Amino acid sequence: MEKLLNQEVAGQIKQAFDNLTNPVQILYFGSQENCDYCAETLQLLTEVSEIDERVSLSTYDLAADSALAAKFQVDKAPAIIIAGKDGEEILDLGIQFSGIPSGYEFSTLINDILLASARDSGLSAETREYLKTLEKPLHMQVFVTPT
Amino acid sequence: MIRAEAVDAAEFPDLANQFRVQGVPQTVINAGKGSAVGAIPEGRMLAEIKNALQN
Repeated sequence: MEKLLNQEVAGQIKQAFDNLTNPVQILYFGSQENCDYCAETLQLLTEVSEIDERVSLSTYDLAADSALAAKFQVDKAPAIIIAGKDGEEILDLGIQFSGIPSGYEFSTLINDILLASARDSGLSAETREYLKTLEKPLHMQVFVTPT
Repeated sequence: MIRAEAVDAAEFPDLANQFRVQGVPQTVINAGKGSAVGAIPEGRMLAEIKNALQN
């Protein structure tokens, strides 16, 4: 199959991944039903994860792996969870991408991976203090268009 | 406790319509309890979150 990432882009990602510290686990959730971009999303993630051994990819099906999907609160496909990895343990960092991270959103995916590896949100002290006091779940959905 | 999800509005139009998303980026907090249009600074986003969680 023809590569989605050309050599130049793959080289840039390799350079960005030089800064990786902790390993990162990407969880891909696809679906057999009504999923126009599932195959392309999986190929993109496969190519990204092949660039650096600290980035691992595991693939799941929304229906067949419904328990895991529920655990990560995934309800659509394609969906991507960017998690931390500690030995065999997967650390849920609450970072998700729903849809194909193409075009402009491809750099969001790469940045998410770097963020998950650093395990540092980069937020201000004030924001962190407030978020520590949260008593109920906070779900933020940022709607984007990847083109 | 905290989940941040980027959603492709073109691929999930029903969801985008449900939250009346007209421009991007638009951040929907806790399924419509709050909403912020545009790429806003952290401080303003924090205010939107506080506001949404009070509703």
